[in-house]
Amino acid sequence: MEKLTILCIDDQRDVLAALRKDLESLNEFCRFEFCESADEAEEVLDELDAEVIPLAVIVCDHIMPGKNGVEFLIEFNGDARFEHTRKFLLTGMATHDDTITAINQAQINHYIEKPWEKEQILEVVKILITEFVMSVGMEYQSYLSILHQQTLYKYLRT
Amino acid sequence: MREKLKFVIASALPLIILNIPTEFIPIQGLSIVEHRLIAIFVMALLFWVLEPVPVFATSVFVIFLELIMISDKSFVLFKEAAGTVNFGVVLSYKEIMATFASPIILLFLGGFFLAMAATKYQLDINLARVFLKPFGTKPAFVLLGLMIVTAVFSMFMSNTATTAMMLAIISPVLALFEKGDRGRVAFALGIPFAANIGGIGTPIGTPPNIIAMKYLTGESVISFGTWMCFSVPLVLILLTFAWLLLLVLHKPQTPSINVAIKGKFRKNWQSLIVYVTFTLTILLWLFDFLHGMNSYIVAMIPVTVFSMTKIITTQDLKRINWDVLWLVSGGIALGMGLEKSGLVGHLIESIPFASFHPLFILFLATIITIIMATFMSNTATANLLIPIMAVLATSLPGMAQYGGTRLVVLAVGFACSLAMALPVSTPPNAMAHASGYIETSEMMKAGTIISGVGILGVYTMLFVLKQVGFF
Amino acid sequence: MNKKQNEEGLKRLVATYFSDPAKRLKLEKGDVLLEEGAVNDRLYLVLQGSFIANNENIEDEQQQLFLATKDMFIGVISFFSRSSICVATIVAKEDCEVAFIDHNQRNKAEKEGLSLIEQFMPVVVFDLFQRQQREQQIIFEKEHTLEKLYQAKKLASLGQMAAGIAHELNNAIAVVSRNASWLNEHVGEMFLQENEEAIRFFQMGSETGQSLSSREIRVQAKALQNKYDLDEDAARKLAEINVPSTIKLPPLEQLNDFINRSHRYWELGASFHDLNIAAKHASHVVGSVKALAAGSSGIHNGHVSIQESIDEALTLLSSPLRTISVRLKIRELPDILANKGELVQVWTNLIKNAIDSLKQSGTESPEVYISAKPRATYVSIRFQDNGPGIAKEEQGKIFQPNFTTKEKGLDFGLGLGLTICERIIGNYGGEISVKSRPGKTVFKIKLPL
Repeated sequence: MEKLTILCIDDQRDVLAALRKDLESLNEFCRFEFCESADEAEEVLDELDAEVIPLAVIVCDHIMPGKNGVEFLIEFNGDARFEHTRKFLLTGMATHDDTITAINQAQINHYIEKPWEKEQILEVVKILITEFVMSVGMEYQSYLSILHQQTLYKYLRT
Repeated sequence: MREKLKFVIASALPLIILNIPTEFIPIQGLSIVEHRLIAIFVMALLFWVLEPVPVFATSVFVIFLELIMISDKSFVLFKEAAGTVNFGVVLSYKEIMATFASPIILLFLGGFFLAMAATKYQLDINLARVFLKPFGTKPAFVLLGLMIVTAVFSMFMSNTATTAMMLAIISPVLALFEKGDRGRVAFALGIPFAANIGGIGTPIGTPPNIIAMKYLTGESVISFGTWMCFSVPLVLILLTFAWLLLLVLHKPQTPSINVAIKGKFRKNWQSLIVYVTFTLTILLWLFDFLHGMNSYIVAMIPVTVFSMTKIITTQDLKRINWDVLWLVSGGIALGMGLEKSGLVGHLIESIPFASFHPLFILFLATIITIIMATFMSNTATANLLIPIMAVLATSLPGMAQYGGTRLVVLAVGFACSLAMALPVSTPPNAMAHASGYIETSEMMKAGTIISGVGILGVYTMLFVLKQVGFF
Repeated sequence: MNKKQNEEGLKRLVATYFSDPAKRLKLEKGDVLLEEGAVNDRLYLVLQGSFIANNENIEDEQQQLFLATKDMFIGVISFFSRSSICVATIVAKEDCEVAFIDHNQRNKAEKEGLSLIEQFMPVVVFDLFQRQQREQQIIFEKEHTLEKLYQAKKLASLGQMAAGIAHELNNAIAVVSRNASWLNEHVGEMFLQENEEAIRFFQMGSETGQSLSSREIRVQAKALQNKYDLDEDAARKLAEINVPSTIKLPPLEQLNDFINRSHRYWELGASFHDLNIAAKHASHVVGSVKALAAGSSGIHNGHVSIQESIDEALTLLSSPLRTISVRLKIRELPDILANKGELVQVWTNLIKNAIDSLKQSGTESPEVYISAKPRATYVSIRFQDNGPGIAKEEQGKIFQPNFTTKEKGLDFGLGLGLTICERIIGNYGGEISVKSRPGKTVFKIKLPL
């Protein structure tokens, strides 16, 4: 089984650390990349692509120095190398307009406001992983225990 | 790491077998072709058990190896010994390749078309709603209803898709159960068990049935309708038993359950075509003795109708479970090799089967089947065991009086579907286990009991069939 | 009719009708010239001093009708109307002298064919016009004062609300912060005592947290992965711990176990570290909000460190400032006597303006530069940004009320304008000035010591 990558971007180190702890239970099936800026994330994306590592989910903060989260996700949305990757905006303070832009232009799959709850973020990440695995057409059986069941049923019905 | 190790083990052993001199193998009169086939068989066995690659890939590999090693158009290096006394009988490459499109495969394809169209036009979910209604809201009866609906659907749809549909229906309800209500377990187990059991109900219910059908030819032939005549009662009995067992083990405490399914029967012309074709196909399968078309030809009706009416589109076609079809094809090719090369005959001669009582052999075969199917793919188990048992049945002198090929093939075929003790036993089990409502131990307990009782049920059914003169 | 024409007309009238020394009156401050409701048949011209005109409004309250100064007429309405009844009480505001004519006045311009009324009309109308204009001005100023009052009240209630929220939050944060540091001290002591290795990693985590950046960790992890033939996860953990070279790593076969174990201890410590830092940050923000609230709720002056007040303003704005680089150059400054909240409010306003300008213009590599240095008698504080600047013609207006370049909305609830800044600084006897060109806008504040 190939490990799925989850890329977390937030300019605050302590937020990344908190995310890492909350998502720890996925360790057996996932590997994590942590980045403190959008620029750094872009370097990591190039590496992932070069090494053909499947990137399942991006968890991205909105307000960051340099390129902000929504700008990054809009660019990422147009990146053909990661067309199946699910995008997830995790933000402390996004205006109504930012959110609309994120949905319309970056086509984010999920949006959560900080502070988050562990159960909540785990469920969302599982849903997104399931969507990724099924839409790429990976062997879902090997990831069964971390897949979101209801989402999986939808894919398996047909 | 473990994947690689599995791959190495599964490849190394067959290679060793392939490279030891033929004379060293303690089987009387073994030909070179048969020797190679043993290597292929061992390879298939290990690959299917350890699964370093998906099971369908192993099937493709089996077919490929047969083509290059033991066909009439094999690779030049494998033809060097051709013409020598003990080279043996090669297979026709056309026949090997034809396994991809054998009538049995097309019968299954017909089943896929029916299921896809039904799902696409929400026939399945609407039927589920109607069927479930009479069962009310008492949890015990809702469970029975769900199990019956699941079983009936899995007779025509894949067990996996049926389970996915039913779990999707029941999951929101289960989430409302109070913590500590053991009833949740009953529901989460009832659906996969019913799907497994229901698969027995028709020849197209599950791939092992298809493989069994393949060997029920000539004088042993069984029609679609005949199959259902004895398998549906068996399904109902096992289902009732499973229901009672689950109620005893995990009695639901919640006073009532309300399974809400949204929707209405669709009324556009495509839907009507789906309803009519669905009904017609099943009726034609059941009453093949009236119209003369066998079940394979009837299977082409939904394929044709749905294609012509664009109910199944080009895009839909791409979503056919080709892996299941190829898995079965590989099994047929392997069986064909075992049979035509004479390997099974030689094998049986080398083991003193005749000294055992035929019924003991039957018992042994079903036990081996159920153990294998518990740990590996049911279809792969059928692929490996049914061809051998089919030949064994004809060559054992004592077997004929108990029912011969029919008896053995049906027993082994049914046994494949009765393995449900572990999450890895079947995809429905895995899915239900992943729902998080059940412990492996709970599945093991109930699953083992049902497997055991199921085997007894099969024996009883076979006994009854013998009594009524079916064999 | 323009002013000049009117002056000439008035001069002529004065010369013709109001030059008779017999028809003059001298009044002392507080003397009543006319009484509301009394009969009056004279028209007065103010020669010197000023009068105030009051009448009773509908609610029986005295209200000021108009003010009459030199060269203005009094008794216009009663003199020219048929009733001859006064509409207002006219009181001298100071010692005054008036000239008058009465109804018996002979027309001195008969030969020019003009009646008395025709001669007086233009001048009197203009007089009334001026009178009205002046009233308008007073009303306008009054409204303006009200508006200012309203703004101040809004700020005050916002301040009270902020103070309330801050108080509530403060209690919660105090609990978080105190318990975090308590746990930090005692977890190590109680659970890890026996295990020297555990204690060491726990302390490494709790002292520094994760000191390496994610990029450094990635590079480190790759190097470690190659060096020790570790799996990816273990390599990352080892890199995160950032084990100093003094610690000897165990042999390879125990390395994975060692890493997992020590990473757990380290992570436990690092969690406390993060928790403490976050609690501190939160209480700092709350403190700043409280200080700001204090500014608008009338708490008295005290010794204030300018450095601290600027720090608090920066904390309050830390969120919008995340995308902007802030340069600080603050020399050793003496404390000044002021209200800290008010100062924070001024700094917040100035910095917020800079942020808004930088963001609205999308300036590349935006920067805010704050410097402060002491002078002999005052402290000079500069707020500089590299935004597009303020247009020349607008620079004079920015301290005026109602001037804004921003869209409406109570953004962040703090920026209530440069007017308030100016008022606050002015109250301390300081001054605020602005210099701006594209790429460099400086607000300079001088506060007396």
